[in-house]
Amino acid sequence: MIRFERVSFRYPGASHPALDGVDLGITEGELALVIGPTGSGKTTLLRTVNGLVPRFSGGILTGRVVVAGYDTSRVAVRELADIVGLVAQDPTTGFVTDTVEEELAYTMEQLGLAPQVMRKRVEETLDLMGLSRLRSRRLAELSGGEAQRVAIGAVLTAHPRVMLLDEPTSALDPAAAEEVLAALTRLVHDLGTTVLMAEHRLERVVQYADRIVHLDSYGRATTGDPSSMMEQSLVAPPVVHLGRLAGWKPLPLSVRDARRRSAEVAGRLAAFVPPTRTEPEPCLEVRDLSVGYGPVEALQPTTFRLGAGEVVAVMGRNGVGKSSLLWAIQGSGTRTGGSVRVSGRDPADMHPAAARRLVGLVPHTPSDLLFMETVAEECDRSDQTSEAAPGTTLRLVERILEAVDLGSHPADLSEGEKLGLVLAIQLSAGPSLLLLDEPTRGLDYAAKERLASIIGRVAAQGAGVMIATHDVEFVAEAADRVIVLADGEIVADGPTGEVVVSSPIFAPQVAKIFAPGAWLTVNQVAVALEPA
Amino acid sequence: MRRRRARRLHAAAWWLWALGLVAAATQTRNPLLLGLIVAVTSLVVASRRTQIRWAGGYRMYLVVGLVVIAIRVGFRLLLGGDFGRTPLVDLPRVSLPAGVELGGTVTVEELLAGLYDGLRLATIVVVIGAANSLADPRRLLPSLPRSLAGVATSAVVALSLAPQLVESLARVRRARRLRGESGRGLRSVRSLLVPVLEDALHRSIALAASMDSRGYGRSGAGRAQHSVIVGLAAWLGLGAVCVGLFGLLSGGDVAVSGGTMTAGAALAALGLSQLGRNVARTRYRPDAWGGREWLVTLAGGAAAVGLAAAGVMQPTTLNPSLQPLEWPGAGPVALLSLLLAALPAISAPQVAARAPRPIVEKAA
Repeated sequence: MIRFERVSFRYPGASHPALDGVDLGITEGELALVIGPTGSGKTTLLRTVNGLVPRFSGGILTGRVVVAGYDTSRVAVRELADIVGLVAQDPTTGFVTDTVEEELAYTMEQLGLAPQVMRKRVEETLDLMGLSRLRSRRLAELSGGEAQRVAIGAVLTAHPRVMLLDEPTSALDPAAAEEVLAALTRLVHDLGTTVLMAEHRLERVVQYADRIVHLDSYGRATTGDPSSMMEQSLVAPPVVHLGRLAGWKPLPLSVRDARRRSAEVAGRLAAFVPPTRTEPEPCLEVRDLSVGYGPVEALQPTTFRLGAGEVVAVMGRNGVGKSSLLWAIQGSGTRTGGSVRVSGRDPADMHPAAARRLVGLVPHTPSDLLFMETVAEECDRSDQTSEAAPGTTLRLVERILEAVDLGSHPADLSEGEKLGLVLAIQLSAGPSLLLLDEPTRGLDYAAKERLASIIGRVAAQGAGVMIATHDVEFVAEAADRVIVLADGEIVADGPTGEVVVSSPIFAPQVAKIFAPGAWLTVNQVAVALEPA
Repeated sequence: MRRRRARRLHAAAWWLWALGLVAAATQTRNPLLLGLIVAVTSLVVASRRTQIRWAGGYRMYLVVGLVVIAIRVGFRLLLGGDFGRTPLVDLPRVSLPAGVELGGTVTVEELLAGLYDGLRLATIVVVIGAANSLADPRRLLPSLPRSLAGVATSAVVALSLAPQLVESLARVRRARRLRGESGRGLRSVRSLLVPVLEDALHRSIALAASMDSRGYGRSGAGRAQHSVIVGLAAWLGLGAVCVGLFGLLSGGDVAVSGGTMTAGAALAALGLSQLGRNVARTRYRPDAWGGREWLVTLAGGAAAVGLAAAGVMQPTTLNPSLQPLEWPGAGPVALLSLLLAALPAISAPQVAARAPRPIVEKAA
């Protein structure tokens, strides 16, 4: 169905190719998963399939990409619309119309389908993607997860033979991600749709894949069936790491496979008691805080405390008010009632520069904070506004990011690097409370691990950390405590182990495997299993 | 009996109504009539949008209108030359090379002339703003000839850009507070503009790529290419329409200009329909055109025709005299036709307003 013949691609002005001699074929009805570290050309590979690369990106493509018999270098992108459907990484940038229903029909209109066919398919897709409640909503009002489902639905209605999905679940909460993936596997099974999907969160998708395409940092591809690929891959979900640790053969890819083999290890773990923590001094006190936008109540009056040195994850469905909570605490977000005290003071009453030394927030689009020409200038600017000693931010950047070219333009950095830079800028002010909004989007496993260790270090120095996230594996790794929001209220608040283990949605893979034992990460298991 | 689904008005009806009011506004410099046009559009917008939040978009156009008037009056006073006999203030006079004189005596006539001109421009801006807040201009695009896909793509991108700019401006301003940047000086402009423009550029390209990958303007694989002659005819026709229109508006010979325009329109229609034959496209739930659409369109037309008629009958109504100074008056024909233009405030169905949107919450 899709054939890459010695495909190489280099972006204009890039020092090394994004794709280097990619040679692979994907047969009809296959679900192929593209994996690889951040910046390894996964998005580029996907976009060559319908010709957006190089037509919309510039650069030089050599070799041939053939889709359903069409050579993409000879056919315009728009002529492939009935064969290839693309769901881009940020779905909101691709919306053309105004409402959900019109957006679902858009591609079909361009294909010239009969009105009755369109009506029928729109209804089917509304049901399939769970969108019927939203049918006449404006696209601009959708939450991230809803927008993602509309974007996938809008591609589905045209019944393309090939679907390209660029991180389809990165913006979704665990439950919504399951739904979307279930719908996709149904398409693959029932309609024989070929799916090419790039995804960082392997724990969500790897068990559905028929084939894995691994891209390394130099744009070279290797391919194979999932279990054999997972045996060596550096990027791997926790279940695979656990399987390697315990020496299970063949390697389990799903929680179910792993659970069936876990009895022996679970028995050894039962003898081990994980260490407990002590109650720390409070650094944040939130009393009856509520947030509303016009008639919409985003957050009911909420009361909680956060200890110094504590790392709290705020979880919950898409659009439940996690971001609103963070912004309200920081002080520039809307508050409709209640009080916030960070180390005894309210950041909303303070000058922005002073408030920064109290609360640092890294928003979910870190690039909003970057406006200088080079990374080095950003660091200097940050030292000035933070009134920190020259070089403070630079040292933080070097600690957070392994290697970054100080002369490069901030806009050219990868998502992970931008996040790291903004984190360094915010930390340079030495805040006693750090708020992170969805920090793991677009990060690979290595980058997430580094982020977790930095958060751990910040907490160890006595700052409180609050993270709004959907990433259960990251929560298991980084957070001491979890707050679950639902319908604008706190429905669960407790140590990570207690909260996530009892929840089928928020439990990380390791917890699912060893339930009811409170094991969260592969590292914990590894430490426990180590011969004393 | 089945309850009928609430139908929204065809977008083109709102824009034709606005076009009628614009045509009316361009004919007059009478502040009374222009003020009435602004009042009529405000009434219609206020009564046809279901939620109070309508004001956001429309109010912005009102502000832009005020700025237009201020600029027009300012330039008129500065570069006015010697016009009018009723002195108001004496400004220092500066002579520039090439015969340009700045400053000098400001007269009441000069002030009023600037005010009238500015008001006319401002009225046009406000009327367009009203149409914009009543019907998303993107809903007009499907009515565009199918062969103009490239132009329409640019239009969609441009139209989507404006609200996005407002949104990302708000987001970045908030983010700037996070960095502790104070809101003054050249640097603050930069810290605001760079992320906003970067975002806008990135989004525009992404939108164009999305439209292309979803088949906008496709001809269906394997069809014949358009003939060059047909394409040339279409563009020649459009050019002729522009020339003819310019002739009509600038007071050229009516027969020659009208003829050029009609011939051009025919040529363009022929060419475009030939080009469009290769584009197979259908509409999902097209907006229907019915009695209410006619009513709204005619209400706008009434304003244009009414003012034209008033101009023929009493030319001084439309352009009140400045030399000698006279109070502007308004005849019954002009007043009545503008009141007719307010009809959609009752006749048209309600327009669902864009609900208030929290900027941050969307990301959650």
